[in-house]
Amino acid sequence: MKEKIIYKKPDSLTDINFSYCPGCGHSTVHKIIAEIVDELNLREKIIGVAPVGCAVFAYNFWNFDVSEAAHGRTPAVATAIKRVLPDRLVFSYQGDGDLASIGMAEIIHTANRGENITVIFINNTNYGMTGGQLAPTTLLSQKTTTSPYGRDAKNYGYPVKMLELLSPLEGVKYLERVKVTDAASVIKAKNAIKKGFTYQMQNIGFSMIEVLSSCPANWRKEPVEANKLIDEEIVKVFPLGKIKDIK
Amino acid sequence: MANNNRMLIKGNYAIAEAAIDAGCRFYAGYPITPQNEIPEYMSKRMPEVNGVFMQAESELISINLVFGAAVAGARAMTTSSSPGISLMQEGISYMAGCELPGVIVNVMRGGPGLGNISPSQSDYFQAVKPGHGDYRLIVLAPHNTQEMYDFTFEAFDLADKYRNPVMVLTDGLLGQIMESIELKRKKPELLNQKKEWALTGAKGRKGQRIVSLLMDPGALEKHNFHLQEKYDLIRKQEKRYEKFNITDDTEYLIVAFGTVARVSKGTIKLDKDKRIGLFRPITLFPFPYEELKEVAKNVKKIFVFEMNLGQMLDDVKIAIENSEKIEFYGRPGGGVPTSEELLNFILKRI
Amino acid sequence: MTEKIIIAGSGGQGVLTLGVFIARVGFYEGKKVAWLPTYGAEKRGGFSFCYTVISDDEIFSPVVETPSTLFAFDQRAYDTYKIKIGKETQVIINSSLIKDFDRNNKNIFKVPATELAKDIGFIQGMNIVMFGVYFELKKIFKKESIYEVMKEMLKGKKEEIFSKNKMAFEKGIGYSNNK
Repeated sequence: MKEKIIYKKPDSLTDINFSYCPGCGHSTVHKIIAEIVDELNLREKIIGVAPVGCAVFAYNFWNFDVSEAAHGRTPAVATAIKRVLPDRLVFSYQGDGDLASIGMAEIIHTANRGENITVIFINNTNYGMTGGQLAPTTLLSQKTTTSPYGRDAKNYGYPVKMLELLSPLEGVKYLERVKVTDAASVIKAKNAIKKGFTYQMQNIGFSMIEVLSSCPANWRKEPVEANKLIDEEIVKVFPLGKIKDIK
Repeated sequence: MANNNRMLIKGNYAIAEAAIDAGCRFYAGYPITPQNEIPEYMSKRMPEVNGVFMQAESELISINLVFGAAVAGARAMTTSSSPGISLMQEGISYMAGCELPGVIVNVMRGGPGLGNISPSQSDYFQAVKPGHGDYRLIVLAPHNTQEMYDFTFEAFDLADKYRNPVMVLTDGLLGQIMESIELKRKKPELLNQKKEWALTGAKGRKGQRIVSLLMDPGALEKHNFHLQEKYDLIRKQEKRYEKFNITDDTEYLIVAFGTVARVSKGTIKLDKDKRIGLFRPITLFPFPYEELKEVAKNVKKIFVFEMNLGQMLDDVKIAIENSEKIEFYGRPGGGVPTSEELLNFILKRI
Repeated sequence: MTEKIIIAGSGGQGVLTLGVFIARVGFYEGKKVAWLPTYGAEKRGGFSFCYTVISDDEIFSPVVETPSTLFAFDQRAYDTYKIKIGKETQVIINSSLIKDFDRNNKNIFKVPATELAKDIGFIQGMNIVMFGVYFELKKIFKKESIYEVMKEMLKGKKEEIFSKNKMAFEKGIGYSNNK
């Protein structure tokens, strides 16, 4: 009987095992990106830019070209790569500390210039790698290691909604918020990222996909509980769905 | 304005034109006086040569655009002035760590803080002792418009040869002055050298990375030793300096770089007794310690002149063991000395 | 020969343009030249000055301590730069705008340049009127170089602009001869 392969590890992943915490959204998103790269046959023409944060090691897991960038400067690095090599597919992969805090200027100007790149934005409402500090995306009353009494707006301001912030900019062509808490939502997330890549290949312009991602370790929750928090609470602050799609 | 191969040109334009001639096809910059002619010129010139001009929204973005362009294998440059260079230090360190070539021009102005827009040499330290981490930049210090062109041109080959950022350290006076230069348009040597390390898509190979984060035990230490070997090679091969009016009879030696070196040449011309010579470091890293030591051996006094309050002075002291022989005169905060002023200082101290 | 010039005036008076013009004439005649402007301030209508050095030898210091020629376009410029006037300095002042100056200094040449420029209907030519005086007093440059460089600098502009500049230049020459 002939062996029929119905599922395999994507070619765009290396043999290195993910080092992320159990239940962390990064592993899922890394994998769906690798699947898309395989499906669209992009492995030899895609260049990724990894952030500073938990996903700083993304380049260990993807078997395609990946550059590091300084904290928050990820979109600037991706911009220049794309400008130099306009026929390649370029994406930045950033966490909420990287993108919404230290890299706020970079992401806004990259979006406003309408750079033809795709941004994958992982929002887990805290600084994961450094131990769970408050991020611009941290929910009100959420406790973190630097908001031990919970986030109050008076002291820390409000959770920043990046897609809604970027949406009015004319250079921005496609914005969607997704989650990866169950099989159905993972498929939606994959379709959204695929759409972002496809828009880039069609030279449509800047797109960004925000993924609500769980951080069980820093949220001090079991993975299932953490996903439940996204499904029930976080989506109320960061509503899912298309924020903008010019097509 | 061209006259055969001679051309009357402002220093800042000479830098821009040299970059184009050297095959620079990616430029990013942010407005700051006294270097605005460079981004203005590049915004017009880059599209003519199918290059990329980007007006960055900050110097942080400028340097990271240059980082990205270098990742993709392009010859890239950014220019700024002192406060802007402070902002770029983060990105420059990343470039050094990732071993990315690139050219950074610093048209220095007075500091600290916002300072003023007058010419200064206040950034010697931040050029030769740059940002975080144990790394070096190759630092070239032109002293006239001809060298603004020549050194910027050569900076691109040096950057590619050593996979290291190169800084052209100049100042507002040299940026703004217009004088004639001889244009020797030539082909940059390493322009077509294949950059196997660049990220251009993993065609027929595994994915590769450009990173400075090395967390495995011992990996970063090893990387630093590797970088150090490279800097040692640069020390061995790239030291540059000029000896002006140095003979067996030279009694007094001036050590100066950039603008102050050219002003010092005027001082030497004014000196009726012909006893003064000039040693001009051209590469501030690698600093020509041994060569300076040799020249300084038989002189009675060494005069270090700078447009700051003693930054290169430290390196002169490292070169010369008998530091009682050293006299220092500096003009900080945008002051430019005249040849007469320097001669008067020498005459008072001898 | 080394000619060290300071030109001083206010933004919009053509201070920097005259400096560049003289440098280009020097360059055209095969001399070493250096021109160094003030930067930044001139764009705000403030004080403006530049150094132009013309020499047979290499120019080491573009910063002029004691000028061989000082052009002062208005009172503020004269007041600021009078301390730089040396025994040998040829001073050319725009007497339309400078009333208070050292009347004992024999080296000060007064020319009502703004009025003369107005006479020919070309007030922007004040700087070139001043230059005409300089040309005649110093006699370093050839006349044809002046016209050649003028043409080069006005390339792409109307023929009329060239003839106005030429008139302004000749007005300056004429004034210095009739004095």
